[in-house]
Amino acid sequence: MSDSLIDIVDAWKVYTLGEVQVPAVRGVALKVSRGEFVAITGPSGSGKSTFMHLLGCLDRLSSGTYRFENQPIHQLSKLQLSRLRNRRIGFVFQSFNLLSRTTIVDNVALPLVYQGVKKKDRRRLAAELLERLGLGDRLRHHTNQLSGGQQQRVAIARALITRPAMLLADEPTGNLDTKTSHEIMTLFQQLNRNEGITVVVVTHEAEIAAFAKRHVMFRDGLIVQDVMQATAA
Amino acid sequence: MNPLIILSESLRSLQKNKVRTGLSVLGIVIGIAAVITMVAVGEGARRRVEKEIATLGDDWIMISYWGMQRGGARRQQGMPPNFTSDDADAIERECSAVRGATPVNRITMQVVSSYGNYQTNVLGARPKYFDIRRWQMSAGREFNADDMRMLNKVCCIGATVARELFGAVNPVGETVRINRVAFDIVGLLESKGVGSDGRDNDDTVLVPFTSLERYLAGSERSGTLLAAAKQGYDPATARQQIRDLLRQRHRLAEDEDDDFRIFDRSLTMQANAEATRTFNTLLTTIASISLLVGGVGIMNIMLVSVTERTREIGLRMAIGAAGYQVLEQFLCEAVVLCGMGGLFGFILGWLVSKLVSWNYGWDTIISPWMAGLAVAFATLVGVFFGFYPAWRASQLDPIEALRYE
Repeated sequence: MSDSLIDIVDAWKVYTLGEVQVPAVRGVALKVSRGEFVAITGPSGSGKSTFMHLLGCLDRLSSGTYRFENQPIHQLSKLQLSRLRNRRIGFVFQSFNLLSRTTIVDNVALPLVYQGVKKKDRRRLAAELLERLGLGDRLRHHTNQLSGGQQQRVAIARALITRPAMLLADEPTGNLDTKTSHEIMTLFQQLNRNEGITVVVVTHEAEIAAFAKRHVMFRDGLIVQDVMQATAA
Repeated sequence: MNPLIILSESLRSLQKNKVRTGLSVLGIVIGIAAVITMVAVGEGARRRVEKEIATLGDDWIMISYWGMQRGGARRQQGMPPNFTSDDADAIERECSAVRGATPVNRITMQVVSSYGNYQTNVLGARPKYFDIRRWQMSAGREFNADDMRMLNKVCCIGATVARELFGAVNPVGETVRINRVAFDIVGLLESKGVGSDGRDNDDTVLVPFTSLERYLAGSERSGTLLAAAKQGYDPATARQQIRDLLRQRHRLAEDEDDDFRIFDRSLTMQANAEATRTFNTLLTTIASISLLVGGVGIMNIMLVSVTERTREIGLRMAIGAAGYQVLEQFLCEAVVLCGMGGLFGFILGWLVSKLVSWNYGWDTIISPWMAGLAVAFATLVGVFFGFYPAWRASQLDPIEALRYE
């Protein structure tokens, strides 16, 4: 039993395109402890996105082992993976992926729907969380009435509502301007520092990666660099 | 997951696209409305036929002695002079499924009152006749066994005759001359209107059978009997009993044909009912096709919806919706759509039925159970046509779905 949140050993992900076998991730090992803030970078096609899907339990390894909170992810069923994603992992996406024509409270409360939480309780929890993130005055707004930065805050709130062990962000600043990007990254830093949430950010921008304490770089399906760094801002 | 939570998620999704929701529901509304209207019209027609059978007294059985004409002089000679009366007595005595029988004799004659004259059917029968035809009096009394025995010159007249001869004057107590013989009117028959055979039931004068024979018929003999089955007995049973009895009484050998014909209104009525039923089935089938088309519309709109909301589905799966939960949500949306369609379709069908009744004068019947049936049936359509799109949604790969543009 290790104390690691993430313990990946010899992870392979191989796609079959016609008759050709294309390995996207080629024998990667990675350990992440609780409370870390990790940036995963790499050029496109380096396998970082595939690796992120594996980390987020959206996809399964072709071979190797993945333990998340000591659970053998590679042995779980699809249904068990759904449960795990719902309760232990919070996702933040580049394009926010909020439900349109839906209030931000209901957007934030969405993961709780799949836990069978009652509507009243869902809305109360979501409203409390949005207050903390500085969106308390817009609870009844619809998502299309918000700026990009606000939308991403809502998405972060949605990721946090289930109190997950890990926040997994895929290019969270890809659709935002520089100033807003820095605000969002600062928010991640605060969540990591003040609440001890493990944060993993996938990005191709070195500037964004600089907000993280640890920097993991992918190239050609392998980790080519894994260093601790002084953090920005 | 809690079904109420699924339902509220579905309702919220449907609310987002009100126009589309409305249009896709419309298909089901029209389909259900068509089915409801057809069932209502069909029910109305069926009840009408049933009512005709039950209340118009059209369940009589008529026995005619065709054999007399065809069988030659010898047999006719052998017949006793009052054979229809004796046969009627025998039928009442021996046929357990028969509630009554009477000889009848019908003669067309000129009838004269102090106000006018009119040619009509004068029909002689026993008092049993009123029961056999289920014919009530609207005023006065029926003629009875005493009138029969005393050969009283009394009659009961139909509504048409009353109108022609007396106009608005109450005819009971008045006198009419039938073939120059004065008859007292003791009763006015309740109007039966035009029968299903197209004959005006009310265009008749009823007199005691004995009086008709004595004063009006002359040498003309009755060749007809009228009988009716007991309540709860199959008319076919009554018919068979009468046939067996008459063959025995007429001493017909095994290989001889009947010397009478039995004509049964219930047979035509049953054929009527059968035709109505076939017609109803046909109408309902055609209406069901429009429901089917509505169902295909729902399936189409759900497939479009699934494609359009691929990213939403991807997101829901990423944040923890299991495949079955996605399936439940989309299936529930289809079912809610169709269920609403069923409800509104019932209301529309009800209105259309009323319109049909009002416009064409057809009977239509809407029962409360039809509302339940409409919603249940529409829901079934929703499950059937919603399953495939919902299943497709549940099979999406979250990674692919999230990438979908």
